[in-house]
Amino acid sequence: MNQDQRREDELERQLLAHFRAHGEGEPSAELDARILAAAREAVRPPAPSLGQRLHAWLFGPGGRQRWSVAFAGLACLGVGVSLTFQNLDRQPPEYAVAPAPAMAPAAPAPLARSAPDPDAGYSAEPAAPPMQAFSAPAPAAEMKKAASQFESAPVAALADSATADARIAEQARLAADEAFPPAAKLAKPVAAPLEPALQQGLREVLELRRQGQAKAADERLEALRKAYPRQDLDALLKALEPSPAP
Amino acid sequence: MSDTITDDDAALLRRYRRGDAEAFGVLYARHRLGLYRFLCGLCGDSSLAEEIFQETWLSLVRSASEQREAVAFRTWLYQIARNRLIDHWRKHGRLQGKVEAFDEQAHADLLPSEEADGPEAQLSLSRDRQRLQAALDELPGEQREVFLLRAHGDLELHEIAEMTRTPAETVKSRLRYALQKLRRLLADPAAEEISA
Repeated sequence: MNQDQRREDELERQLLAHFRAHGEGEPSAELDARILAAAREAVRPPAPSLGQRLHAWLFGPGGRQRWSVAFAGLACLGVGVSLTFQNLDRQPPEYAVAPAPAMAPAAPAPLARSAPDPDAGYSAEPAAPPMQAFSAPAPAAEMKKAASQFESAPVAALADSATADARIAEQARLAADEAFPPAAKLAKPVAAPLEPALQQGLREVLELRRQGQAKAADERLEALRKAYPRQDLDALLKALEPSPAP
Repeated sequence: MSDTITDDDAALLRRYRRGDAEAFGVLYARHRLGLYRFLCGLCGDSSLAEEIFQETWLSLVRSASEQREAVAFRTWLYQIARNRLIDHWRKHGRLQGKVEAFDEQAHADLLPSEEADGPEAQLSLSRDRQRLQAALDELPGEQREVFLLRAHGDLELHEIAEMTRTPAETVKSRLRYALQKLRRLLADPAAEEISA
């Protein structure tokens, strides 16, 4: 029985060996390459993260030079940040100067600060003294002059808007004065922010009217309207007229 | 490199899973020929065998799971290939009509007795490859599968039984009948004349 089993095992071994040795077929080289390429592709490490790349960059070959570059970059960044903060500290007063005068006639606060009497602010200064100083022709070189002319254009626009605001404020004040006419206020000249030429022209109109020369007064007033189209001359005339005696 | 060559299959697979593509190359070189011939012998179609062969390896490549420790890599690999081939047959039909019912006892009665064949006759098998394939094709499907798993997969009987979910005794008898029939079919006519 054992002998038969051994013989059978030997025959099986021989037959299996025969088939293994003389078996047919082999996968093609293309198939091998395809499978091996897919296997390599599957285990390809993922792209390193930013931190890994930075670590490799700093600690890889040539790291000493890269460290110096990194420190230089950090130093530049620090200098830039500190300069930025210093400039930020300086900027507010410089920027606060420019818009403030343009808004000054409409804003009562600066006027109240400059003079306790609200009306004194109107008669104290012209509309935009800092702007005028800024736009005034400097005695320096031509470049400064050109620069100031360039800057004066937006300032003029701002001054116009300031004048309009002043006019509105003035009309409001006049309306209030009509309702509650304080004698002292009415006695004061209210055309303080006006240009001297305009003020003079209005006074001439009033004088002509007082002399009964209505036509001449109207012509003069019309000329003033053309010269100062934005001004409400009627209101200004009304403000300049002396109040009737009570 | 020598470590790579001497590593067992499970160690190579672990190394491959950790990113060592070279380990996969060794593993592939070890099993490519046996797996391919197993598939060729089982389906009898080289193009289909190539297709299943590629699917099997790519499935292994794409599978992120580690091989179970209880199952040898070889068994695992041949199990994948066998399942793929059976899936293909289910989808497209089995072209080769070799699945006829087989009465193993009746077939055994028809086989020549082993005592009649001497060792010389057993060794004088035909080396004609066409004859080898033809003899394989003559085997019933279950016997052919068991024989091929044993011959090209080098699997033990209990591994084949586990893979095919067949009792071990059935596997053993299928292999015995397959061997007997193959010996008879491949016996050299000259040897038969001598033994007669």
